[in-house]
Amino acid sequence: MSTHHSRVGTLRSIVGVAGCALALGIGSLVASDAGAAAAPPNWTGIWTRVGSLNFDPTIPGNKNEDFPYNVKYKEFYDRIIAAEAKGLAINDKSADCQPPGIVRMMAMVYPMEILQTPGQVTIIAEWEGQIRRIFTDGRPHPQDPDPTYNGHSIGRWEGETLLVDTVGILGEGIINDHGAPLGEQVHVTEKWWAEGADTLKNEITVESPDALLRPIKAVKTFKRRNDIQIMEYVCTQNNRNQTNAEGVTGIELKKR
Amino acid sequence: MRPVKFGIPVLVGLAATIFSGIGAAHHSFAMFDDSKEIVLTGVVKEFQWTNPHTFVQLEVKGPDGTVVEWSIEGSSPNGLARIGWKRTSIKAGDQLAVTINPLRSGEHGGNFVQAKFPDGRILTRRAGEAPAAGAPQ
Repeated sequence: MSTHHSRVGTLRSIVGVAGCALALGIGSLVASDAGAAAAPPNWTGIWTRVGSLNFDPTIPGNKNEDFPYNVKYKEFYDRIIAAEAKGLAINDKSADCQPPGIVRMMAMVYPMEILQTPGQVTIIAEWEGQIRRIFTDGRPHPQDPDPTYNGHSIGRWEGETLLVDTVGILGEGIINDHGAPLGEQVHVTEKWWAEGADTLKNEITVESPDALLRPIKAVKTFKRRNDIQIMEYVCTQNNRNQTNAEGVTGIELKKR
Repeated sequence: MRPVKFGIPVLVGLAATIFSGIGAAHHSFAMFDDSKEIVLTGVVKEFQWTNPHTFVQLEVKGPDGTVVEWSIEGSSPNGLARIGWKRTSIKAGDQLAVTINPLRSGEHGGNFVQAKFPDGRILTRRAGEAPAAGAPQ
């Protein structure tokens, strides 16, 4: 796969450089370096997920995923699964309208809009109105960043593949909508590539050494849907599913 | 005091198993028993076309004449608008037969499966979905 992509990338580079030279004259070719001449693909537009809301979207949504947790987190996850089987969701802060955090967000409950601008790829998730800014201008991560829900993302184009590295991710997040815990020292890497004009793939790898014995990896698929629009989503508008004192997701019933 | 029977419990089996989780949006749907469907017949008191979830507040009269208000949670306007729903799709005063996955707790609430109007129109929760098994035909 990567060999194929790098070949395509190289071909595009050559075509791009030749086109650039024809359009702008040889002067600009001399002035620019060969790497910069390869224009990245244009993924600006609206995309919807394929598959379930699990970390691995090929696993049906009603199935609990297996993760290589250490003993401490396995015990916690087992409790979460046992409670869920009894109808009690106990590790789901999104019920209180908290942002889902980068890992769960990338399941993409509702569509996302990708905007490519010079030096930046922006992902706008309709669900919870979350925004990721992936800086592709060559800047490094900040030293010791303050943790945030979606972390600090930097990316670089390798041919037609976008490689993204994200650090500074807030702890106590979850991996999927079953409340699988994410751990406290999370590092996320992503490889994005297109297959044809209307399919986008994201191979996402999550390292979380205080919770997971080894990294976990999944490939997410998105389909282009430029026939739809991103809608507003404000979770606090009428949230009747707050968690109770025990942290269990509930439902506010109205009585006559 | 408790209503004797507001609907017909129906075994739904495979279809619900395959699709469960698709409707989950901002929270886990574990509180609802998606292995059960019941049909509530009543009058809409209010339709909340809001995020993160829509709600149908349905007043259901039991055999003894007691009226109970049910809170029926649906997908968000974002999900429903894309399959053709509008904020006016359900209105206060509408007579509806609503199929739900009930709360496991037995309280008067559930997850919306579909609604049928007296003229036969049916609103479903997913595009192209066949009417629920056990729904009044």
